[in-house]
Amino acid sequence: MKRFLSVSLLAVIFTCLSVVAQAQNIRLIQTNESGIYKKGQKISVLVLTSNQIRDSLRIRVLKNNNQILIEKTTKILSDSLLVFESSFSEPCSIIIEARIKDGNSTIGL
Amino acid sequence: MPLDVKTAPVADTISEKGFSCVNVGINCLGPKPARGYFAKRENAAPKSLPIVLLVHAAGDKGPWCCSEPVNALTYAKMGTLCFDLNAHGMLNGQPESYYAGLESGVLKNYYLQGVISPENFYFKGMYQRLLRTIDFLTRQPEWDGKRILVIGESQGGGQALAAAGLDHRVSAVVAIVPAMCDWLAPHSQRMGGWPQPFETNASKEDMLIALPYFDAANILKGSKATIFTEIGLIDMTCPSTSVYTAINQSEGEKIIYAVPYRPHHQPQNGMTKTWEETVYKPRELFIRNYLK
Repeated sequence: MKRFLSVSLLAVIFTCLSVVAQAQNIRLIQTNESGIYKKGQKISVLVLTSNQIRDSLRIRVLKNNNQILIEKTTKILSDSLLVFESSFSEPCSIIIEARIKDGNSTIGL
Repeated sequence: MPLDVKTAPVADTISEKGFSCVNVGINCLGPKPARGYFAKRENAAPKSLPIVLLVHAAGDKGPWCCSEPVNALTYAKMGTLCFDLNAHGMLNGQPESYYAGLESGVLKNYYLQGVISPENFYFKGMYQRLLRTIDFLTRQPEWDGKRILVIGESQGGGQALAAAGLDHRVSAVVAIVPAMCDWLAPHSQRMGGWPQPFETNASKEDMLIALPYFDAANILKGSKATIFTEIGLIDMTCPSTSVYTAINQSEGEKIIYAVPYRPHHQPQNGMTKTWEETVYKPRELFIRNYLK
């Protein structure tokens, strides 16, 4: 219940701060609209989908354009899903790609 | 080497009253002359105009690779001495077959030619043409003696950064998703900038010696030019880390537009309007204000 509430709250906050990335059936939004974070700052990225419940969602997260941090496929069970949460102590680039049958979205930070 | 400049008026521009545009070839150390179009307002007072140097993205035959009189005239009408320089010393205004012939011939994979040799690496000639053009422009009596703005995207952005690092008369740069940055990044488990020479099969040992001479991440040390840059945070051709690595070497003011939704090309798919309002227009405003 607690986790559900915190994910929903995150979704509301992110909707206010969101950057739309390749908006169609799928969008990625992140904590900081600018994509720039301080050392150690928590980063959270949500995927928002519309009418894609029970579709497959493929997520890939790249660090520095060449290291795969996450590569997985999951089922969409709600309109929003937390797909990445981390912090970093060194400068780096992170690219998050989300793909469904009818669309894809990519965001960088 | 004394300057030897050949010019020819551009016929289509004769109707541009008050402005001249010439097709220029400038002799140069290296394999090819610097070639482009140079435009300015006629009868401008001495020491009254800034310089704008336009440099081009990768390739040989696409419209984005070729110099055009309209490019030079556009900036000349903003009150500048403007040179639209093509990257390869190509003849200007030729039929498409000429450029196609270069692309499949001597300029095939130019960006990796001579990659293991500081003497023969292709970018040596490109940078020599850049510097020669700046020498030509700074000899124009109308130059105000203070402002040289170099503008380019991708390979053009890399050339703009190189110009700022190699010639400290360059006072400002607009580098859009710039290439030629941080080539030795794979040593630090990062992807390097285009054309990613260190990711090829050429001798790593030789490239460790050759590449730093031409890498903006090295060249920009000590530059005091103002750098206005757009960085694509999902750019897989000129990675964001490569651009930051390069511009962090510069000592001048940095105006950075890091765009979370920008790949190497201009944003599409519904982001165009956002990008135009929040990135493109501020860039144009910066240029206009810098040239006032």
